Amino acid sequence: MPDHLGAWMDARFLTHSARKPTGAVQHYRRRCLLAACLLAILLAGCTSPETGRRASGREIEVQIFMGGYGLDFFEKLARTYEQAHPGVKVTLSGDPRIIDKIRPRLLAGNPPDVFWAFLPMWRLANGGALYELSADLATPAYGQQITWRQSFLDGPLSTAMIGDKIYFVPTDLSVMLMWYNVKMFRQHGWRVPRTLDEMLDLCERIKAAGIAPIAFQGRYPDYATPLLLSLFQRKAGGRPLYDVINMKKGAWMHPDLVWAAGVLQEMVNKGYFQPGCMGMTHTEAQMEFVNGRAAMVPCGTWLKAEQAGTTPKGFEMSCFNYPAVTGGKGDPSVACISMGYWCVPAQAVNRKGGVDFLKWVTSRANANEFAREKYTLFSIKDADKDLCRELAPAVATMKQARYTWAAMMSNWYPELSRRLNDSLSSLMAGNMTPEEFCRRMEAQAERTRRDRSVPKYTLPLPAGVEP
Amino acid sequence: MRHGERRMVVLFLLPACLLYGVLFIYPVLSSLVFSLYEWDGFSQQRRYIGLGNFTRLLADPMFWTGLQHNLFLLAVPTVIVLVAALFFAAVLTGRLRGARFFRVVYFFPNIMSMVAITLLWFFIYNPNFGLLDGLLGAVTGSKVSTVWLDPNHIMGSLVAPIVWCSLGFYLVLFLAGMESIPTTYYDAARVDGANAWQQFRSITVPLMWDIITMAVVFLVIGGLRIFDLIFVMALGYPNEQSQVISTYLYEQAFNNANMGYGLAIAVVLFVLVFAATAIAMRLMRREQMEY
Repeated sequence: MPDHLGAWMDARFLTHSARKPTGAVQHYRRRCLLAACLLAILLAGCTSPETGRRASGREIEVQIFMGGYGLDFFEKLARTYEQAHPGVKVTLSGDPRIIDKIRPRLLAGNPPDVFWAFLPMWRLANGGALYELSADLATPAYGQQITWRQSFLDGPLSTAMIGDKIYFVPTDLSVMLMWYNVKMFRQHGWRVPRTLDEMLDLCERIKAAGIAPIAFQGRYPDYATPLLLSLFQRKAGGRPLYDVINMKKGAWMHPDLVWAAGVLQEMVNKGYFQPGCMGMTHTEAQMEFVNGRAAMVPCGTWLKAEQAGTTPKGFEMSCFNYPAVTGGKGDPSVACISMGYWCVPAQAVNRKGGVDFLKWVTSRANANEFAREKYTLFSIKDADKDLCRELAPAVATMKQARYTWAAMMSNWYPELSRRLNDSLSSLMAGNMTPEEFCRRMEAQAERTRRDRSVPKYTLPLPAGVEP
Repeated sequence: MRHGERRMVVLFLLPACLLYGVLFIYPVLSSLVFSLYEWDGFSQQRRYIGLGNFTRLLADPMFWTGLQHNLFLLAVPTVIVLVAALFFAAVLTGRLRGARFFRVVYFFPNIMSMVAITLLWFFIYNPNFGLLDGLLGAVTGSKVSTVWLDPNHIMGSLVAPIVWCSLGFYLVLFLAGMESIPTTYYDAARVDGANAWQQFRSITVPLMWDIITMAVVFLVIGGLRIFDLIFVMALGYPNEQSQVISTYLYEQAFNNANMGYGLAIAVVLFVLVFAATAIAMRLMRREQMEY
């Protein structure tokens, strides 16, 4: 027993009159020490076995965002992983506010072994909080004769590159498209538009039939970003689009971008967007679509899953890529995508296990199963077998696309992204001209370029990009 | 005070002081310290930049836009609530039938959480099935689908819920004040020929000045600190038409991973609330009347 503890015990338990320990006091001291030892063992037991199991690779802790996809599929993956790896336990938990659980654990240096959360991954990677996966990507993928890296679709994986390094990998994949009411189109003899002129003509005819042509999630104006930038790409080509994404000087002032903003505003002014849509949430606007009060809605391929509980029986939806611009320089097959990202923290206790579970999640078989069960696409090659028929046009779009691109502003430059949302809102509300819109965006881009506290990123130009 | 008593006082005060220190003083001081750093709030890496976050804040147009919105939400509801609460309190202190019922009705929103109130108004403002557009449609005889929460209307639309949920509290406060004024003053004024308005202006308001000052201070603090109403009404993403300082603080600290900058905004907000409270109290300082 340390001297100072003995002295404290003496002072605590001996009376003023008798400083010498009696037999009873000594017995009491022994009992106290025994209790303290037991407590220490118990407290140590609360934490160490789990950490110990994780450190020895026998346990993998996974934390994921619990949203539209639920937890069931990932629970199933965890169990199949355990079966394939006897002796390994996967502890999986999910929460809609998973960020609030992961944030303090990252700060405390005790993160889970692998996680999926809508956190600023690029900031985390720059801050050294994420494990670099490049070496692991060179190892074989599960169930295939190719490397893990080769199993990914090029477009989605390129969005995860920071320089030549990769700290997180894309998983679920959404193609941003225009959805339409199949029965309504059939009844009225409307056809899917292939060019912008056809689209505008179609909107006019839908309006004449007393139906709102386009429902819109106006409370989240970024739903219009893929339409705006796709029109720009169709008109100007791919390089000017990548200049905008990569925040090149003057990119937002491109005349074709002013033109695209003008088209968007004109569509609102002509009443092609549903009246009142600027006050609608995504679910409200999408309800307008599935209830037949609007013929089309711009949305990602998650629409079917998101509206699964509220879509009336017999409602048929399908989708098409944004139309071509007659005389434009851009390839109309090009598609806009967005992804979720999974990562392994640098300080994860069982980093090796985390990486292996991530490989398991992104194996072609599991990716295909996820896509089939959750009505979505996945960032893995050939993981699109037996998907629901509503997604067939999305799969075809991905296959036909000369390349895919993603609007990275929200991931890289949140303030630029917010300014884009605000400006889109003002543009569509008619409070701003297309020229003002582009000027404001260029000014914000300039502020971001000059802000030395904001790390700058580049989305590599894909092969075959139009000049 | 005897030695033993002092020890007991210290002993009883200690838990409260400890709690206050740990839960208030320490976080405030930590915020002040971290506001001097460039820090994402996730990693353990942070860089000392001195007053860099504060100079950046002064040049940030969104901060000034947010401050303007705060001042609007401080001024407009404060005036409406004060006038309406004084008016209704004066009416309810009279011999109005059903006065007790109305007291409960007016106070009712105060027992609801701000999030519930916001959701309620969110539905009232809905352009498709909202009560407000429906009511306007019934009055005008034509379909009204004004988008009350769009960029052009949102600031005005925020005033109504603030007034609705604040009115009851200040009404009860003023009622208590008015009922404590001796009726003999009013009797004497009536004998002198003072009408109701003169009685209100010359007796009620001066004798309730301390309570009105307190109400103004509460409303000023509330106007500057407002968060939940806007955050929920804007579904977590206020835009430049609805951004206030506290929502901008949240956005920078938690959405944009600029924790250092967010804390600098928090420090400035703290100073603003402190200064505004002091100014309001200074402007409303009058000779105290005892009765």
